[in-house]
Amino acid sequence: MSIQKLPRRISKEASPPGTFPEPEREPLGPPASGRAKGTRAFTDPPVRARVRLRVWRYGRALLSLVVGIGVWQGVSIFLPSDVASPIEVVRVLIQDLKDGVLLTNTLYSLTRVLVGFFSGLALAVPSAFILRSARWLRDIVDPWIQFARMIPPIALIPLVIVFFGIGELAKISVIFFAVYFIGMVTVYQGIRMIEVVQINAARVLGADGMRLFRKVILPASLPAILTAARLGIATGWTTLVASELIAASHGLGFMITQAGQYFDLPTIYLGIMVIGIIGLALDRVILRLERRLVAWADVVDDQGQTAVMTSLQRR
Amino acid sequence: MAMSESSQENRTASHDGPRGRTDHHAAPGTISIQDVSLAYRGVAGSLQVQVLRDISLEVASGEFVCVVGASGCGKTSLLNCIAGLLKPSMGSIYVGGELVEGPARDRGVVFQQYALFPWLSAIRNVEFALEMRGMERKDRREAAIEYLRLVDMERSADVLPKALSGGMKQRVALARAYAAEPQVLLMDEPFGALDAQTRRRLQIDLLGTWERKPRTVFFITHDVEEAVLLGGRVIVMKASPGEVVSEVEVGLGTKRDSHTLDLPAFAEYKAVVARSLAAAEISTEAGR
Ligand SMILES: Nc1ncnc2c1ncn2[C@@H]1O[C@H](COP(=O)(O)OP(=O)(O)O)[C@@H](O)[C@H]1O
Ligand SMILES: [Mg+2]
Repeated sequence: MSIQKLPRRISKEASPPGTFPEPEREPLGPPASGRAKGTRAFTDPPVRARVRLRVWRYGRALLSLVVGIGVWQGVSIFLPSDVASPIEVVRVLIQDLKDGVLLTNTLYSLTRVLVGFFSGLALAVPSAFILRSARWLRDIVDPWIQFARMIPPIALIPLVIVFFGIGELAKISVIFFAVYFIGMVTVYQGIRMIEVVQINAARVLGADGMRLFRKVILPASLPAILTAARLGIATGWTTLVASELIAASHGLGFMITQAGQYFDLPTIYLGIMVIGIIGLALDRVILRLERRLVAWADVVDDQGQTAVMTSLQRR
Repeated sequence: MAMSESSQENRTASHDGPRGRTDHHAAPGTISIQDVSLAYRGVAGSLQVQVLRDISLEVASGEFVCVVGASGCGKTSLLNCIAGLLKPSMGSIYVGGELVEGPARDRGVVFQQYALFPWLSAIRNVEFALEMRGMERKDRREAAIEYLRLVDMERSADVLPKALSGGMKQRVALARAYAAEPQVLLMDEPFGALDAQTRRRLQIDLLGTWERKPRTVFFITHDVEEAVLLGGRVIVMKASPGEVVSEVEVGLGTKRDSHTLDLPAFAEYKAVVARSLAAAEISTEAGR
């Protein structure tokens, strides 16, 4: 008997009618997604077609940017008292870069968000596993989690100021709170979905205890952990900036508030742009990591688990 | 039929506990199911759903036994009991003379839902079984290739499961089950989700594999033709509660291949099993 020919990667969702039919393009990142390292593809479309596809994609994105900035420029001419023009923003950008204000504020914000993010996620993952393993604990804790989930972290700021003052700890604890809850709930939901059959398969092969956890449960949970990381960094970043708006003497949020007091429009716009761009960059970093570490998972895999999609772009 | 390895005989004889955990006379690779009943606890622990009732079965070492029965009659439950993944409410099961008390490496399982680890390539899935067996890392890859060769999958060694077709996944799953070197192989409708052509090819290849590496096989299916083609003996079950209603010895010899399908006797055995299955279904209806 012979090996069946591998099917070309078949997309599981058909494209909806009326949309531009987009051929399979790196659904999970770099070309070597369908197989483990070290093997050659025979399922990839010809290189030239892929390059053309990519140029076309980036071309459209670039066009959209150029048009967007053009519109912005146009609007700023008609509404000069409300909208700073892109040119002015660039001027402020150069100036703030020169005197280091922008860098300092960015570093403050980034440090806070990363400390809060890593500590929140580091605690969220074990919490999710513990909750998964103990039903009685789940019953006790669940109402509190559901309750805490509904509190926007920003609403805690006044309270946090009472407890921790307005120092670094205050801001970091707000981010920690935000990341911890969304992270724990996401990881918990993810590990609840781990297929029993995979665990059974490991058990009949002789895996148990720690080995079962390390070799099967942990890798099976990795997609959920990375999804949690992505949601966590987004929540953490937006929460941070909001908390800096209220109580801070450094940071991007603070930069905007201060500029608002002086009615310094270009700086307000610059702050908003930088916040958006850094948020985007943080998301991309985790997305990269996700593609690298869980390239084995289909976006919609055999078990019908659907990855959380936060982007319009198919991944 | 060839016996499975005899080296395990000592192991069997050494652990006889006071409560009859071992049976001195049982050879490795035998399955002995004694008066097994199973009830699932119903909703809120109130209603007990009787799934298996008084099942007794003896499977000889090296035998290929097929179990047929309508969907929902308890075949998977029975197999999970043998695998040690479920505990019977009553009765006991011995494999190679030892009481089944939980899952262990001596009973390999091939599940209907492809139970490969999606984060591991085909060969790493097989290596997983070798690692659990305690094989040194440096020896694993070479050994794993041999198991993949057994199911004709060595050329897809480094492919991730998501890029394998259903049939290929089941081949790898079979290689992984073999790699644990179990005494018995338990197969739960392994080809049930495959298209007819692929299924036929996997059936024929399974016969070839079994001839080269004889093992006791306990094979579940709801397809009469599959049961008669593969099994030296076919056990027919009825539902609600699951019971064995009849057994058919399939006298088509132990050497089977695609030509077996053309034998006049093949059609006869198929008819016998089909009749028995139909009768089982009628008795299920009557029991309701
Ligand atoms: N975990 C469970 N809890 C309660 N009932 C179950 C459970 N698993 C299976 N059953 C019931 O037991 C019966 C037998 O199931 P199963 O062994 O899967 O049958 P088969 O494999 O023959 O289709 C079915 O009626 C099914 O609904
Ligand atoms: Mg079943």
